[in-house]
Amino acid sequence: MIRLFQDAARVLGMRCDEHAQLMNRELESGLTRGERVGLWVHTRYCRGCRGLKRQLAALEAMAGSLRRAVDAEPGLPPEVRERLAVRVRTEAEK
Amino acid sequence: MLGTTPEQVEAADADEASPVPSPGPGSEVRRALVESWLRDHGDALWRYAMARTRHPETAEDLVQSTLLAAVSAASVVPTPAARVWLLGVMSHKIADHYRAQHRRPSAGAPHRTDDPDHEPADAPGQGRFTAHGMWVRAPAELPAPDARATHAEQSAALRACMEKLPPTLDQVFWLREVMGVSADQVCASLRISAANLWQRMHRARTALRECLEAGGEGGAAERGSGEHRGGEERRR
Repeated sequence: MIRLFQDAARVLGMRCDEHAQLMNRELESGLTRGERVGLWVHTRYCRGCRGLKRQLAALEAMAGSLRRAVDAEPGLPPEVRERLAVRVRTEAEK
Repeated sequence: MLGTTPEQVEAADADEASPVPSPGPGSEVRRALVESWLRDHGDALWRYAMARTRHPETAEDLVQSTLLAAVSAASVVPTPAARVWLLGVMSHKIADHYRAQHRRPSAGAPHRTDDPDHEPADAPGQGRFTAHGMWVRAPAELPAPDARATHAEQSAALRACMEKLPPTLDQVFWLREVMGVSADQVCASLRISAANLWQRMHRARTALRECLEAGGEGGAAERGSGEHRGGEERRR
């Protein structure tokens, strides 16, 4: 509990540029509960950081759309697979 | 565990005087290995190559060169992580492909984000922030998910901006966010630290947000060399 308050207080003492870096870190490696609380409180009253949070969420959603589009693409066409099989087999045996 | 990293594959490729070290697997094993990769991971490699180049002949060349480079360097039978490792090899091949096609114009070009020392615009005291770390201009609204723009339109907008990213940023963003490779696996595959990956992702997101905010016209384009790699598709 003490750690939670310490983390939240540390985050609340940060500047907006540091909050921006913290939001990016959240997407990569996650934050502690206290850091999340501090960030949530800050974004409640900071318009700039709230806008950044929304932008990052929109970017994640777009990346998700692109991921689904790539996943839905057809795989190797049979004729390409056949050509590649012959070529890589020959090269691999060299 | 694979015995070689994608960077070592690149190094082996580049060293034409001494092609492949002999202690690797024998030709029978190599053939079986490359056939199994083509069978099990060919579709994933093809989708990745097609998504990046949108050109079937280039994609076919990339799949072939990836498989051959990988089998030349693999010293032991792969684990289930083979797909991620192969995607890592392919990401280097794709970066090489674009470097060969579009040499960056001038080393002194402003806002080059492929400079490893370049700080992102969100870094303290830079870009959108004052010297005191306050916003100069609040980030604007991007197209909201499930709003008027369809998923296809959103994908196209993002892809257009990604094509303007420098190769080092483009590579990690594709692997992490589009191909769904975990952070640990990207770090292992590209042989970079977690901090380096985090920094690259931060820079990529910053450039992409700015590009999207500018409607696909600014941001990443200014931050890279000014060349648009999507030009490959248009020229064909």
